[in-house]
Amino acid sequence: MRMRCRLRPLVAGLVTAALVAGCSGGTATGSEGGSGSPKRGGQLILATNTEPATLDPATCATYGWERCEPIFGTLLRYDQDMAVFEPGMAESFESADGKTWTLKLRSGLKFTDGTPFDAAAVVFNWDRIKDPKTLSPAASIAKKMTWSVVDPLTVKVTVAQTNYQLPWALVLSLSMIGSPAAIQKAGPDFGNAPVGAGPFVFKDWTRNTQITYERNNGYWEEGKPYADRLVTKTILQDDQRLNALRAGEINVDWSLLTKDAKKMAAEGFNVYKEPLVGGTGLRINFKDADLKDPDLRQAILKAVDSEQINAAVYPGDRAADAFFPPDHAYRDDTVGTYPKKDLEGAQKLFDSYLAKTGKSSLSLTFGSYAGVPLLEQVAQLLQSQLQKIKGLTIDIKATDSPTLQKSLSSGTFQLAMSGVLSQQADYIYDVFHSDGTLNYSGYANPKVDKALEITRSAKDEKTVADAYQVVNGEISKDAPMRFWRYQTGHLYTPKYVKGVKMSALSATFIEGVWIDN
Amino acid sequence: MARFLLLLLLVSIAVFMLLELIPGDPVDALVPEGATPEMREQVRELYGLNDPLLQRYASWLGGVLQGDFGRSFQTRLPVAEAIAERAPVSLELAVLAMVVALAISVPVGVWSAYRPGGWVDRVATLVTSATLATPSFVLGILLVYVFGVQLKVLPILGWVPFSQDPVQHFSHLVLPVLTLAAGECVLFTRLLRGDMLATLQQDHVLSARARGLPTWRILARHALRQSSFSLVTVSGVVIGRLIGGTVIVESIFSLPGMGSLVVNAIISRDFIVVQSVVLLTALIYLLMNTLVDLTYPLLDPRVRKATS
Amino acid sequence: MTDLIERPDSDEAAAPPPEETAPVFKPTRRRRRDYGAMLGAAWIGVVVIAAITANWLPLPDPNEVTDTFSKPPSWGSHLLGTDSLGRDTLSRCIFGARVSMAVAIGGTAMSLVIGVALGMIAGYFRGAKDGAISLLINFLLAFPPLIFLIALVAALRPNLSTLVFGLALLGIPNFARVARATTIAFAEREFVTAAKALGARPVRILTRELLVNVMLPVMSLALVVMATLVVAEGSLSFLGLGVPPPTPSWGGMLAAGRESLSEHPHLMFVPALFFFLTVFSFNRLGDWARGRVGRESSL
Repeated sequence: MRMRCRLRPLVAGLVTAALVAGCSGGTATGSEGGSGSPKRGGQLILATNTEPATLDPATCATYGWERCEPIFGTLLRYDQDMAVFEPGMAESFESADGKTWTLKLRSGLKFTDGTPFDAAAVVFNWDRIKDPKTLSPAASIAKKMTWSVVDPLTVKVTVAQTNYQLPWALVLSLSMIGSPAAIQKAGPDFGNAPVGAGPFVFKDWTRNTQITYERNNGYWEEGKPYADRLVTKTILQDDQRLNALRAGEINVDWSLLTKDAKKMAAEGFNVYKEPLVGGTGLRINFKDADLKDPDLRQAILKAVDSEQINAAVYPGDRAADAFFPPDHAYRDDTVGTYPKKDLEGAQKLFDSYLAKTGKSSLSLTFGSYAGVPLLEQVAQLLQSQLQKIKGLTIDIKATDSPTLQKSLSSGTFQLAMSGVLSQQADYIYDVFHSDGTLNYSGYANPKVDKALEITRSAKDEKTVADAYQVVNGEISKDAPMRFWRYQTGHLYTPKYVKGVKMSALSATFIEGVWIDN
Repeated sequence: MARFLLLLLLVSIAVFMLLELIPGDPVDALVPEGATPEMREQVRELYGLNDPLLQRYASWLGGVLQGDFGRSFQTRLPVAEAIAERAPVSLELAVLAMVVALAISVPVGVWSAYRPGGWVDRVATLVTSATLATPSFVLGILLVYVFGVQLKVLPILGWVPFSQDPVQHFSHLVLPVLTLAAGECVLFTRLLRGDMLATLQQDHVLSARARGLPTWRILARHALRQSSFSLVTVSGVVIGRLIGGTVIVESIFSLPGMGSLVVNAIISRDFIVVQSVVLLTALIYLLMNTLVDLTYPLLDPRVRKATS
Repeated sequence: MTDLIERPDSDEAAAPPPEETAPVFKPTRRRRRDYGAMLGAAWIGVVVIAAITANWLPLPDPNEVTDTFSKPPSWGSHLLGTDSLGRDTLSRCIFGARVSMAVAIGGTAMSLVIGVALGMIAGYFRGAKDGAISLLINFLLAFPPLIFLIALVAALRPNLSTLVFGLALLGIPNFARVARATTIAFAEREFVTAAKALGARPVRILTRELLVNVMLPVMSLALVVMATLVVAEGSLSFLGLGVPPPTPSWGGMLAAGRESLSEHPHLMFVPALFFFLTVFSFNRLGDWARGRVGRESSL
């Protein structure tokens, strides 16, 4: 499921940090989990490693999608197998030029408090997201959009720059619409008592433990949801969740570790996979006084050994050799890959850097997370790998996440552990474009900027893919973020749980899941 | 009383100052990634973070005095509500740990004192010193390894609300309660043994023995009753301490108690929660201590004599 | 561990004054030699010496990553095995002992000096000074200790000296209480009143006459405090708030080992054993010292 897609455990704290190893999102390669016609009834119990701080749709569509999708549904859905956007709570979202879009809603839809799910409600929610007071992570996307009510079932949306990737916003961060009446009534408490029009109705929430939901009998999709009751549990450790699944305490589990997937498949559980884009990586600050030197950066990149990291910490994972995985359509190795491991070459470049600057040695700070065992191990491995370059000292500065986040967003780091993870490639626009909101590295490459712009303005899939190949090559060569593995989101269920279809966020559309007993 | 309030005030000021020293802005833990400066400013304004230190402290204290602890930065829940949600977990843990510790240490302590140097005493001494040398994080993981991983007889983590499933509720509590109780067991056993040793030498006990009363009766009616006063008062202190001291156990077993609340709050810079929790724990601790100070002389004539 | 931090103090609070509880006859057979304490002293000695001489011992670099991951203990190249990054566990335990011992010895020494000074001043002068110092002590005690440490470590960047400082603060009340009580008990004795009558200045009385007597119970307490500080440091490291990586510490090793408990339990058991032996030794030594001081106390 979509955990928060960045290295910022907000709530869970010490413990949470484990999740940091990965957050996810994405679409599934997993296929239908069973045959036969769906049956009604039963209870679905799903577990992930963290829960959002709030069930306010403005926030939790981004951080905690699987907790809120049951309550609100999503305006659009993305079908990974077919690679198309599909209708959800909305009937359609279309545009002729990529600038002016029309959102069509379903007639007669009502929130569970009885108020209508109409154009005014959508606009109310989106205006709220745009309002900086709401602190919505979707505000930066919403800011680039304007909208107006055309009629009760139609909203017109315009963007200044052509963007054919805009429907992603309605699948993810802008996708969830809450009842305006309930929002106005509850004020800041809405995040603790959400009201939507989705397949389930929020019942109660024991923080850091579980959220329970009841079936929404007035849900618009015929026959859905199949389950009578839904429980989402927060169980921090991967091992613990697997044990809970084995013991039947939960019936849908999530993890990012390949070794878990192998284990569960061998034990006869259904395993659904979804390749993700990005992950946790080594971030280099291009604007730093030392690291602005390309020789130094290349020396560092040549010392990184992904295979060793995976062998020690992520057994079973493929070592990353470029941003996208080898068989990916967006990959073209003639443009560029990550610099290959080459200690001699690294030493040569480093020596020439020293000669150029007149230094005899160099010490760099490496910001990492305190209290996240897997990432602490990776940090120590990276330190030992980089220190194989004679004259280079790496000083690990392990802090809690707000401190690290602060050093990232203010650009006061040199090297840092940092995560960017998503289910969709469009996300990397913000990470690698020189104007991107998440471009903490200060990376500015005109070729990448231009190619990223094409990925949004082009309608033709081939053109988009070609542009991504350029992006992939350039960001692999320069590696403002160097990853060591390709992350995959997994869902595990017992055989009797069927109808799992991985959603856009390595969660499943829960309304379609049923229990065969 | 004045001293009591002064202490509370000092604690609250100290927490406030200490939190002020922590680098990293609450704003960073609140704003979404890629937030604009405008958004950051909004947050500062919204949470009153732009006000001078003294004013913030005063307004928080003013609220507390009127029973309003403010709202958590993170969850926007009223802090009182967040505490009300977590406190029962910690309280249940503490009380159960107490009960288990007493259930084990009273018979062991009494018997050790009755037959000092006997095998019960010697085994107890050995076990207590071993337990004392096993930090709670080692013991907790050890129990997880034995009962959860190897024997697979007990759930090893998580919290099931009583209302949902009473059996699961208690089976999830077995390991954390044992971990917590172990340390207290040592305290009680040693305390009781020492205290009883002295009591058993007193005249009325000796004469009861001479009269040939049955052993259990002497132990229960004469010796234990007297020793139980110190046990009860120490229990009070221990309970007060346990409530704020379950951080490690909560972390090992993923329990949603006060300890994890405050640790998470420190990490996410949710200072208003930290301040309130520390103030409350200090209050409980001081209350229990005062209670002990007040009742001890009433219960035990020996102290009355010594202090007068 | 919170409970342990305060444990040495609780008997002070709860147990009646020593002379009242002195039993009529010796309740336990006191063995002539306390082998437990001797073994404890030996273990502590070995650990301290190993920690000091670690650089010269024939050990692999504790931070050297190799490709033998999570090897269990066995005879041969890595006696106690390797951790998940292939680093030698024995070497990491010995270098980790530096942190534990620095905290135990440095932290205890710091809190002993401050605590004893405060306690003696309070106990000798009584009055306003006593009031102020008692207030300070109660204030320190009212703080939930681990929460205080976590906040402190978050405020000051965690490194060895911050840890020693923070843990020292926690130990102060214990020493101050004992020093105060002992000073009060001795201040009325003849040799003190005589010194007073001869016009000796308070500083002289405190250092020449009283300090020796105060130090006896304090030293036995110091051993127990050492044990609690080792545990407290372990707790912080266990929560990921101890000395920063890759510097080895027992608590950090435990926390890392916990991740693969079912597959490689030795990653956790080896540092756990070091913890156990060390804390056990300090406690036994503490018990022994207390017996020597002649306080047949309940704890």
